[in-house]
Amino acid sequence: MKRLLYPIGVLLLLATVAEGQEPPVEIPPVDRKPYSANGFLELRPAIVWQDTDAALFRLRSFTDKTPDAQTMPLNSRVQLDAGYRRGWFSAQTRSVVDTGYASRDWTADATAYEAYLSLKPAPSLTVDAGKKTLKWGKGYLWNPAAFLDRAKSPDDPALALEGFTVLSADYIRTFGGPLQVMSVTPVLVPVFGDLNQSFGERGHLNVAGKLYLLVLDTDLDVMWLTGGSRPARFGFDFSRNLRSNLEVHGEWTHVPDGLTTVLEPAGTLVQREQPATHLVMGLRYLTEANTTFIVDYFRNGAGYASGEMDTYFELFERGYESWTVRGDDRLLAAVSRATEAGYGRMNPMRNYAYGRLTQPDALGVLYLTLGASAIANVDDGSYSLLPEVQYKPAENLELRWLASIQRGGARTDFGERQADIRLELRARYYF
Amino acid sequence: MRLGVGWVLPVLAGALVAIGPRPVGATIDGAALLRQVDRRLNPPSYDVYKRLINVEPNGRTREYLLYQVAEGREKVAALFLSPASDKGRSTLRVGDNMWMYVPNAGKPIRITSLQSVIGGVFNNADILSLDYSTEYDVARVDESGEDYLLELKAKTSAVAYDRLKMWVTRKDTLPVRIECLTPTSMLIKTLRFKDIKDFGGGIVRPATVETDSPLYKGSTSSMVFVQMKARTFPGEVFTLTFMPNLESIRR
Repeated sequence: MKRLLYPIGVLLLLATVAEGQEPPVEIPPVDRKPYSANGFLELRPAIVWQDTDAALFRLRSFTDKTPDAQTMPLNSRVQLDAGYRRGWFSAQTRSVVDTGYASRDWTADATAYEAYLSLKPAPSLTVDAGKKTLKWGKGYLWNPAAFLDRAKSPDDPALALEGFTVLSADYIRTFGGPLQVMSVTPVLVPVFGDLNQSFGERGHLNVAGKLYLLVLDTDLDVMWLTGGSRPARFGFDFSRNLRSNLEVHGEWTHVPDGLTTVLEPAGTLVQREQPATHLVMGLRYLTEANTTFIVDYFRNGAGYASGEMDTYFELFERGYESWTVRGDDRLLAAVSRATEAGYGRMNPMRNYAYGRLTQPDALGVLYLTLGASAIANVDDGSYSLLPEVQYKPAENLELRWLASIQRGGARTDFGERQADIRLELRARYYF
Repeated sequence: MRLGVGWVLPVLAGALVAIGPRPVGATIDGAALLRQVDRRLNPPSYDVYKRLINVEPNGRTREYLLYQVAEGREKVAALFLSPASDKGRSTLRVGDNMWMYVPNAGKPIRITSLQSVIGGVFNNADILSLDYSTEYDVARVDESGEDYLLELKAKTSAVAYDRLKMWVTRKDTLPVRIECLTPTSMLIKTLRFKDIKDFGGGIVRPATVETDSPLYKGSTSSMVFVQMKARTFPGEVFTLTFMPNLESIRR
């Protein structure tokens, strides 16, 4: 019998190989360590052509005597994320070291973006204490509902942000029926001495909170902030998939006692108290070809009206002439202060639109992503274009080429920005 | 000899029972068969370590390791453990809702089932798959071939593939091949189930799921189940708020 079985077994084995079946995959064991450390090293050489006629370039010549019309900055970043977890205790840190070289100057800066302790006595409860980001809101680029976060970079909205020192908790409950999930996030933000000094006025213990609901397959958040360092505010956001390839989202916030710094025609800076209502509405759509479209509209309730921006640019022109012709810098100094106070921020006006498309695995090449974004100022018609190419040639290596092109007429938002065209290569290695 | 009807019927019924649950010529309950396939593939609640391997047309491979947990018919969450570029990224699915959390971005965003968080042939619906009986109705069962052929139709338009053709072995009720089709019968991808493995605890299933697609000519992707065990989780694990903490439940 054995004589018969042996050749049959050999035949079966050969038949298996002939059919192209592979031997079983060798599976290495999975281990778990209490600590973790990972991060990335990034190099960002760039070339920038400045718009020497732009108001913000000429204003820089007022504060910086030798601005270059063309610069080739070289920036680098090392980000280290480290964690330790034992039982229901964990500690997390995110440290960032930035160095830069531009116009014969070196800069270096090391910042702890996050550093907090976390207690998790039950899956339904987490208590965090330390520096961390909260990242509230659903918008892709603009998040007026992010009451406790810094503004995102338009070049890379997904970039890590520096947090604030907080004491926060998350309590989660799940249910059957239309209301599937509820979670509550109370947050304390102390602003005393050097602690959280960039958050707002010192000497206040600020209280914020967020209520999250997953109801009828819709994410719904209600949030509020009060305490004195910043004007009190409240709002909500939502997000929902309408189809398997279409998502809609929005944010609405209201600041009843908002403060806006306004440059008056006489050249004086005044703080005006006015309620502000912000709105973001957007959608994300995926085509059959796997192209993703994102469109967001932003109504900036604290933004300047066209007439106010005209006044700002008008005063800049007069101040610049006074300074260059007569050496009188008083008006230009006021314009410079106004720029710092709000006119020079990322989106100073009232109505903006954002569009983005990305095509992963483009041109039939796996890990090649082509993309382009545009930010348009609806009020004055100026815009910024941001085409990009991203490729991951090897595991943990990411190359990204991106450009930023500002377009607009005289006395427009993007037309008066100092960098006309910026080309940048980002090489990032994860470890 | 005369036989009364009252006597014949119990005898016939007994004979049918003796022959077996599926007498020749009887129609198979497709829905029950599909539920049986689901239970053969995974317990109702479980955790699993998976390797996802993308093979490019030039033969170059890229591999991801993820830890995945599932509870009941419609809750799945996954945490990427490697490579370093994706470590800490997590995805969550509750029914037709899907989210992705990227540690750098710091907040979950809604994603769609047809996207792919890793690139390659597997999309999010393939990686965060639910029970087939949760998403599909059995339109037809063909018993004429060596394997059962189940033709499945999506219950709603939110399901990633409108139709599936699933070949299931008669012997152990496990799928060997699934074709994913559009409403117009265009083939989107083919899944092949291989390498039957005993994971312990009564879980015996294919350890490898390979896929290719006419839309990704020359590329293939594989999902290799490294270890799998039955385990239950509290509902709080499958929430947006918990996504940054998925690591805390990993064993």
